[in-house]
Amino acid sequence: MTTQVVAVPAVRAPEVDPEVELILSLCARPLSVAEVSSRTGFALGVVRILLADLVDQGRVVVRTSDWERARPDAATLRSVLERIREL
Amino acid sequence: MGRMAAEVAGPVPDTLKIVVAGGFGAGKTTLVSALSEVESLHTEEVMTTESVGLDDLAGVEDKTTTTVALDFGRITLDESTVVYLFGTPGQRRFSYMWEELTRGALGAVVLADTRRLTDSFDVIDFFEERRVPFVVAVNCFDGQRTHRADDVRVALDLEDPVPLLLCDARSRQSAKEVVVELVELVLRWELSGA
Ligand SMILES: Nc1nc2c(ncn2[C@@H]2O[C@H](COP(=O)(O)OP(=O)(O)OP(=O)(O)O)[C@@H](O)[C@H]2O)c(=O)[nH]1
Ligand SMILES: [Mg+2]
Repeated sequence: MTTQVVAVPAVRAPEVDPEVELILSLCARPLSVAEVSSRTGFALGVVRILLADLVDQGRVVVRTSDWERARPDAATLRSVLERIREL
Repeated sequence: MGRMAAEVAGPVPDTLKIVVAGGFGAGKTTLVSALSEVESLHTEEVMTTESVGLDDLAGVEDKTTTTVALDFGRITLDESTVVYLFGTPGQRRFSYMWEELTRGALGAVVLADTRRLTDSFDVIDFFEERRVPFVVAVNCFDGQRTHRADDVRVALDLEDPVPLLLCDARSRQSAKEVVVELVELVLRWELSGA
């Protein structure tokens, strides 16, 4: 759900579904899967299917943060704390 | 189209995920909204009948799926770091959602409403079993300020190292303190090699 999605700019297909067009334009900049869902109003399950197709077609790339595989180290946590306090 | 922007878009940010769990009306939506920089925070998850209790289906027997709203918030710390908040109901029948949400999560906040403390038992058990770092934030609804943190700790049967604090989910400052408490706990786990 927090996997980041970015559209691959060069690949422009001639025909695009409005749903797909919307997703591609939203993830011109990196966006999480959950955010794609909340901004499009499409259910998460639908977004996942559409994105999986787009990944297969090479039109979007996805990236999961290393921090989802391993807890951030102490230095990172300290800087996160500092920034949250500054909010 | 803005798609050309991807060519100049910066690096993909690293993300930290924090789960906010609590019973109905405990203040999840309020807390996530108090912290989030984005509006329109709701996303939906499809729930199949397997995860729905019989009571919920009375009268709608032919309905096979239903959707559950998830609160969703975003805090950009800098261009390379984003915190995501996910609010999820705290009752056992939503545990299939906790599985997914806690995978890769930094930790969790359990929002407790002193009028319905039992609502928090299931999700607290779940986080304890999975060794998910969590803090308990007691939402101080009007007239509930007399509640002492120690009493709540006993009522929830919380182990000593589990941080417990009183909060007002409507206040950004108060909500921030809850998240700070959680990150401090995660830091302690990290330093102690837990
Ligand atoms: N006095 C007071 N009221 C609060 C506080 N937090 C939330 N509320 C109010 O309590 C009500 C429920 O809060 P929500 O944030 O919607 O709770 P929720 O956990 O998202 O509820 P559901 O999604 O329905 O399960 C709202 O009317 C809030 O304005 C608080 O700290 N103090
Ligand atoms: Mg809510």
